[in-house]
Amino acid sequence: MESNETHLIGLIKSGNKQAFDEVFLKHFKSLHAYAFTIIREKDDAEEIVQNVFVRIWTKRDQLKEDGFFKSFLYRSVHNESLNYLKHQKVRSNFNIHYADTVKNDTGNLNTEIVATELEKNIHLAISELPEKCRNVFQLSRFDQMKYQEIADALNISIKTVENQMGKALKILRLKVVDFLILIFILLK
Amino acid sequence: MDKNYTNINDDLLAKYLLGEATMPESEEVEAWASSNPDHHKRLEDFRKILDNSKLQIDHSIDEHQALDRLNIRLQHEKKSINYKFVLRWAAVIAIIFSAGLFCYNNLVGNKLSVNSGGNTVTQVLPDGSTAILNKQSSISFVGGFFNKTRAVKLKGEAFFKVSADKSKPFIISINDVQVTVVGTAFNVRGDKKGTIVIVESGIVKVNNQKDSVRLTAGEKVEVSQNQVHLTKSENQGKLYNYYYTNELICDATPLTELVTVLNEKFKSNIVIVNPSLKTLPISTTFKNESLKEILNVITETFKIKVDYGQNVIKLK
Repeated sequence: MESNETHLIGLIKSGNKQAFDEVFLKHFKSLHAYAFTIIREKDDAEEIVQNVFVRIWTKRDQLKEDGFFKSFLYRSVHNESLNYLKHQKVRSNFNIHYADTVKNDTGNLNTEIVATELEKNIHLAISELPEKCRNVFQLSRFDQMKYQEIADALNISIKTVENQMGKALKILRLKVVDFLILIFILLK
Repeated sequence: MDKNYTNINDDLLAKYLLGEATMPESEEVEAWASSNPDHHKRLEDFRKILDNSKLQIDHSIDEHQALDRLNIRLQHEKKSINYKFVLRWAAVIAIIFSAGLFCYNNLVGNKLSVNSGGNTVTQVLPDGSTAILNKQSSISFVGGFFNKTRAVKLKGEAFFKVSADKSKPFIISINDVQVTVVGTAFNVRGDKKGTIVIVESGIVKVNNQKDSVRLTAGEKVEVSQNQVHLTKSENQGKLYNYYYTNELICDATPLTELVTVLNEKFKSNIVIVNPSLKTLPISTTFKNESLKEILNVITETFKIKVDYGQNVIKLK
C-alpha cells in the first residue's frame, strides 16, 4: 500500500499530474475531516487541504519518497489549520466564541459543547505526541489501518506498533483526563 | 496495575480495543477490567479517546468536485508564478542595465577634453562642476567612481565653479602647480611667465613641488616658473573675471594691468610709452564698450593722448 504510494510520489516528482490527482482523491476526505476537527469550518477546511496540495504541486521537486508521505500530509494540514486559526483569532476572537454559544442553544447544550471540545482537545493532544508515536497513532485512527499494515508502511515491527499505541493512549489520557471526568458526570 | 494481572499493560489494552488481541488476551483484559472499577475506568477512557480520535468523514463532500476546484486554483497559481518569473527576469535585466550604465558613466562618461579655440567656452563637467574657459585654453577632466580624485589638466585660463564632493578632491594641474579645491569659486591663469590663482569664494590650496599655501576669498598667489616659495597676497579688483562676466571691473587698478587685459580681450597691441603712466590707478567699470570707447574714457580720465599707429596703439 505505502510502497505504491512511494511510487506515486516518484511520478509526481517527475511532473505526472495524473499521479497527483490520484493521491489527492485518495486522501482528500480524511484530510478534510482532519482539518475540520481543528477548525470546525467545512469550506475553510477544504481550502486548507487545497493550500497543502497546491504547495505540494508547485514544490513537487522537494517531495521525499520515504514512506512517511501520509504523516507529512497530516502534519501539513495540521500546521495550515493552526495558521488559519491564528488569523481567524486576530480577525474576530469574539465572533467565533459568540456564534458557537448561540448555535448550541438547545437542551443538551452542555453535552454537545463538551463532546466537541473533547474531540478538539484529543486532536490537539495527538498533534503534540512524539513524532514516531504520532505517525503510528494517526495511521491507526485516521486511516483505520491494522497493526500489520502500519508496521509494513513505516517499516517497523508489530511489537513497536503495539508499544507506540500503548504509549500514545497513556499520554493522551493524561492530557484529556479532566474532560473525560466532565463527560462522565454529564452522561450519568 | 495489579499483582494478579502482571502482563496487563497499556499496549495490551490498546490491542484489545482495536481488535488486534488474541482470544486469551481478550479474556484476560475483560477479567482485569471487571475486577476493579479503576481498571474499568481506565479501559473506558482509552475507548473514549480512540472513538473520539477517529476522523468523522463527511460523505456529503465529493472529492472529484474538490479536485476540480483545486485544478482551477492551480491554473491561477501557474499564472501568478509566470508573472513572478517575468518580474524576476525584468529585475535582473534592470540591475544589469543600471550596472552597465553606472560603469559607462564612470569609466567612459567621466572623461572629457575641451579646447576653447577662439571663443570663451562654458563647459559643464561630468561631476556637475562648471568650467569657463578663456580663449585659446584647454582642459581635460578625469573623474568618476573608479578614480579617487577629479583630475583636471589646464592650459591657458579658466574659471571654475566646483561642485562639492569631499571624498573626491578637485585637483587642477597647470604648469608645475597643483590647485586642490575644497569647494569654491576661483580663477587660475598660467602662461610662460608663471601662474596666477585668484580666489573668489571658499578656500583653495595651491602647491608646487616644495611649498603650499591656502588661499581664502579675495586672496591670490602668483607663481613664476621655477619659483620655490609661494607667497599669497591680497587681490586688487576683479579685473581677472572680465572673460566670464563680460565686465572690466577696475578698482584702483594700475593702468598697465588694464592694458594687458585689453590687449587680450581685443587682440590689440597697446603700448604705454611713458613709464610714469603705468602706475596710474583707475576705478571704473566697462560693459560691452568697444576698444575705442574705452580708450576714450582712459584718455579723458588721465588727460593723456592716444596714437593709433599701424598694428600698435600708443598711450602717451
